[in-house]
Amino acid sequence: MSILDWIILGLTLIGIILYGLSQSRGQQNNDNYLMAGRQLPWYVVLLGIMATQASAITFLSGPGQAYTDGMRFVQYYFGLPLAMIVISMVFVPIFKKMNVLTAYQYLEQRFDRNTRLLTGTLFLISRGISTGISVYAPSIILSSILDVNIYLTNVLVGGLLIIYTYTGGAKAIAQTQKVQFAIILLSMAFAGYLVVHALPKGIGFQDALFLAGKSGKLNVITTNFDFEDKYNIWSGIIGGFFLALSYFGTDQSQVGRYIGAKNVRESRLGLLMNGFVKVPMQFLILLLGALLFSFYSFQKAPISFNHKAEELVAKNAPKEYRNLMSEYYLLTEKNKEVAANIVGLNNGSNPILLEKNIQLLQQTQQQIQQNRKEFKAIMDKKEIAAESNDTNYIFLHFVKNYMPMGMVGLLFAVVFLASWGSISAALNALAASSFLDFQKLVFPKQNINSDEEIKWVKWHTLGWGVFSILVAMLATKMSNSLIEVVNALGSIFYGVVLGIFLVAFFFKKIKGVPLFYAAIISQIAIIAIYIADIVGFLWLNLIGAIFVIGLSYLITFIVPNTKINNNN
Amino acid sequence: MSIKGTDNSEKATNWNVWYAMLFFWLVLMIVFFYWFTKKYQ
Repeated sequence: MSILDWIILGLTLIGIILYGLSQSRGQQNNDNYLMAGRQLPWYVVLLGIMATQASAITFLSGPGQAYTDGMRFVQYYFGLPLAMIVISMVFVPIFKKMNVLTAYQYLEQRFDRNTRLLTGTLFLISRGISTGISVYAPSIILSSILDVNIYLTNVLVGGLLIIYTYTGGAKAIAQTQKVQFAIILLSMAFAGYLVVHALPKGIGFQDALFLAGKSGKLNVITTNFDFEDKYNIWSGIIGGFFLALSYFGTDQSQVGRYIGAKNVRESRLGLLMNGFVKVPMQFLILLLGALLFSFYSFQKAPISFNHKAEELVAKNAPKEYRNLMSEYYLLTEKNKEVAANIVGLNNGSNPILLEKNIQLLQQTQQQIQQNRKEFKAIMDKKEIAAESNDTNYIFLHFVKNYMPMGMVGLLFAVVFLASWGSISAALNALAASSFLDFQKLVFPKQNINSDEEIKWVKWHTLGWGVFSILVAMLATKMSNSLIEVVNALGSIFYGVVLGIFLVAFFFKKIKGVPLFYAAIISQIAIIAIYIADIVGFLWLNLIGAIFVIGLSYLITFIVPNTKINNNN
Repeated sequence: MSIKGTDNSEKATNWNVWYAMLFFWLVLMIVFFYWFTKKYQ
């Protein structure tokens, strides 16, 4: 990276921290610190919701996912607009009416203290660990590509944002998220333009689309039904709906964004607008990946986009590496030639020859795939143990090697800003929940004034920040498969938490005690289903919610006295 | 289940129209994606 890029990267990050600090004045109580004084207009809520959901990995894995698996990942978001409608209709008015600071506070009013404590704890475990992983995930990529020590990138990704999150709370988070997300969107749009611009002379946008389509990368809609398949239209609409309902309706890092709005109207507008823009935004991010695939059809794509992993193989298995690489080189040369032929024939002049070339392209790509698979098998060997999944490295490989000077620094800044946006909201939510739903419940202390409360919440914010960095540091020592398990934590807990909230809203006859036991049994069952690996993870949200509702209903009507024994 | 909003801003906005618009937007997008997939695959 050039000096100019480093300067742009540094200035953008310092600028955001200073801006965050400038927004930190006038915090007098927890309502201000945790809810931005409940004064946010809808567009700040919207950008906050989007910036909280879109972590660095969203922008890195999106294009990478389309490059490797095609655009079908967008179906994962189809349930989101429907969830926005249900949350606007049901969740928002209740949270606003009860004037709660955390979503779990409502559960104490509706059920009892134990249910609030249980749900808050499930949230703290899953969100706490996953925040650490969301520090680690971009950090390892930045460390590899920028050739910087992983411990340093962990601190840069997870540490600097604590400065304004600690001092400014929700208002500083919301205002910085607004600026962060605007920079991210503009930079990504410009990056999209540059990908098309970087295609070889004579190859336009339509040609790139045609080539990506014939390579199977524009498979936006897939209609086959398979419980184990992660991304098809059915798991996207049904599983995605329950995932979005759990995430936006019950995860404090999102609930905290929209209950900080001025009123119900502004909360609803922010959520509904998110429903309008999220799917097209993801479509465009994935399209970028499909275009990158066409771009690399004319360039020599590396056998692994993670160059450090490739170096490890070259060093530890030199003979196998040389053999695979010579075969790979011939295949990529052939692929380039056929791709150029296809674009040349795509004017209707010779449809038979075009079809023949398309078949040849697909054959060559299958062989390249096989070649990459063999390479991955070497990387996975115990004595090498390199990170074989290079999906998240693809976009940054392009940025680093083919983007103009200046733009490289800006796009690396985007990775940091996207991380900061989601991590800062998570820290704020964790602090709110660990103080209000845990400390104040377990260690109740009389006469604590608002100054002391705000001090406590700030300490919690700092504590969770340090905890996240520690988890990220520990993750550097974990095996890749363990990290995958940690990543799936959200889906393991979300369904049960959603079930608890759905019972609270829709099943008035069910009280605290049966619900409490139903939630614990369901949680154990979901963990067992996850370990047995029976269904795709998106379905766990739906199954968890159904278990909680069904079991609590059953306990209420089978076990005597539970209908009466409540609120104690 | 119907839960009314809790402030005056509720009266000014017909939320059912918003919900219907968002629903149709989703349908429209899926139709577009289906066409897109068929055109280029």
